[in-house]
Amino acid sequence: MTQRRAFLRTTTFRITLLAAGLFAVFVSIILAYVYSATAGAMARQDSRAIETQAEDMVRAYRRSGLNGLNRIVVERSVGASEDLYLLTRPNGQRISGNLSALPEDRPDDDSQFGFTYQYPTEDDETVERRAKGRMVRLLGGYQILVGRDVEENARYVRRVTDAIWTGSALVLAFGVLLGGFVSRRFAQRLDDLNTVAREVTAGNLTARAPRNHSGDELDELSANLNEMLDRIERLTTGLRHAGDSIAHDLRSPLTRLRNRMEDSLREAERGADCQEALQQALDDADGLLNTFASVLKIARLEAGERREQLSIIDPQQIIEDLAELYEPVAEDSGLSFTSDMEEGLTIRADRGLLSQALANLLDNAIKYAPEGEAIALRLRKASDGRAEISVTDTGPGIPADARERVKKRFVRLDESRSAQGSGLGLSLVQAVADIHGAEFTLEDGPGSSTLEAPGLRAVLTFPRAR
Amino acid sequence: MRILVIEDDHVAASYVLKGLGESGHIADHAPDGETGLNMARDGRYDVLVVDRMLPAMDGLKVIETLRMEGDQTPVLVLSALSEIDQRVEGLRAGGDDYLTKPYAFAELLARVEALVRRRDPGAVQTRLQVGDLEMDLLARTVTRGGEEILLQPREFRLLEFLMKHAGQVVTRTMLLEKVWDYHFDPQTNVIDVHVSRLRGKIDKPYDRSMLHTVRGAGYRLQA
Repeated sequence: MTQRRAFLRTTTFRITLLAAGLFAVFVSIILAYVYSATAGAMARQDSRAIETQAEDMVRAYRRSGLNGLNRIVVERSVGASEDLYLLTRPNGQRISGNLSALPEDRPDDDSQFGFTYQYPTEDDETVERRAKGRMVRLLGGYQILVGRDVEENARYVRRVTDAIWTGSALVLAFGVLLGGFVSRRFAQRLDDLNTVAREVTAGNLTARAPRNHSGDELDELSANLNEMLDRIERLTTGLRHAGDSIAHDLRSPLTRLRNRMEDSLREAERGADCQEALQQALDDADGLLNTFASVLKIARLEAGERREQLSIIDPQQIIEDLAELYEPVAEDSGLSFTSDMEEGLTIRADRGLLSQALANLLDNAIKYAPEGEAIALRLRKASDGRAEISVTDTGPGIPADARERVKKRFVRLDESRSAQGSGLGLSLVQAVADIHGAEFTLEDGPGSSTLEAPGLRAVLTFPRAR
Repeated sequence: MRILVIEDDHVAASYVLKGLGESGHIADHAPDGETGLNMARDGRYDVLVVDRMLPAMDGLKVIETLRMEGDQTPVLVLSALSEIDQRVEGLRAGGDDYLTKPYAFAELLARVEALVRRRDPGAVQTRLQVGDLEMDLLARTVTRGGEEILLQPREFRLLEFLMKHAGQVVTRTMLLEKVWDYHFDPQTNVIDVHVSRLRGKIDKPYDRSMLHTVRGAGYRLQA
């Protein structure tokens, strides 16, 4: 019930009703014209014929008197004809004609009127037929009824009228059905969109508007809506993921920090020196804050902030600066460090972000490659002409099946649990790559000096700068 | 020296005031932008520490107003907003340095002290001298006790920064920002490696070391 009322309230329904109403008016006008052009024309033709006959009779009487008129009436009455005649004396007595008696309800004047008469059939019976005619009053009191059988015409007119009524009813029914169907479909599709919106509001971010791929406005609206929902879902999933990860991965360092402080408090009560414990607690807190800052930074990057601020640069300077910063660090860790650059390449980039991403990759290489291995920072033109910056090391590498996983937040492989780190380094690289529209891939390196490990090549491939 | 801290968070402010007091400075506190601006207008302060987000008047607005009135007191901008654009915004408004919350007090102290020193020299220096260590900024040469020391370009800039802030603590982050122009913290202690290389050249061959590590803070170059 409420649903029906809701349906009656919809704009589409009202528009349909209006359209159906206008439609009905137009159809009525057309049908009225059809009626007038068929039945009306016939009636007018009959009236004209009757008038002509009446004039003929008056003229004949005037020219050749009663006898002449009688002759004409008799002549015309012979044989089947739709013309009807009845010539009478002043007292109404029949003289001649193909009618037997004057109709009772004839008017006193000479206007046309409708009447019925008995028509003899072939098997000596009579049927009542409709006719139309007028009285012609002649000098001397004689009168003549001139008429015309309209039974056929009347039947035809009824057929036309019936057809018009049936047609109108059909047209109206069809109009209402079609309007209802169309508005129903339209309302249904809008309703689907509303359902999706309500579902999303209720918290189901995976709800999507149905599409029929017709490319019409509603389909386009659905597509845009879905695109918007995709983006929102990506962002919220990212945020929720970040939130979950923070909750999960910050819990253990926080617990550690708490325990350490509790412990040092006890130590202090016993009069022990808790300087070292405090220093460690401070380091833990700093580590936590750093992790927190990294998570926020990644979330912001993933949300697409700062995308507009990329400028076209020659990456050579970035590589040189980083090589200069990291070469001594690598050497101190017993690693050989090389860097080489191809000239004349340009990319759209943000120096700070790109430097940080590459610094993360270099940090990793230095952290995981054992003494005696090698690290290379390289800028070159890939075979397809795009600029490619890579950090290669001959360390332990990352198993192929883990390469996508390690780019996720807080993911650390079991092999690296012992080493320091937050598990955010590669997530940040991925986020920076995304901001730059660059591809970030991890692949096997050139092997290692121990012949055991594959090494690792981390590659950022940039789209061509316009 | 006299420092004005404009900060609406009372806990954060008292932490900073206490630290500055213990380091031998006289620090005043203004809890909102308007009060801060009025106090700063007295001109009795050597450095202003201004939080970006303040009640009554935005921190950047305070700085802009002071700069428009011709006040050149060095300003350290504090903010919870770390994005580089915001850093640039803060510096453009007239701030001299920018520090992101949360920060270690040592970092704040080092930066505040560095700001004061920076204002003093005034004229363009062509020579720097700390003890028997001398730097010629035009010839780009460094000598210690008259003996020339060969430095890489970056080592030269690192030493130049340390010498300009001789006697003060400079933090690793400050070095990374001012010498390398990076605004992020690498995981590995890249700065330590560079400082230790520099130390190997300017200190190691001599009996008295000048470049000291300050625990939990950074480095200090001292005659």
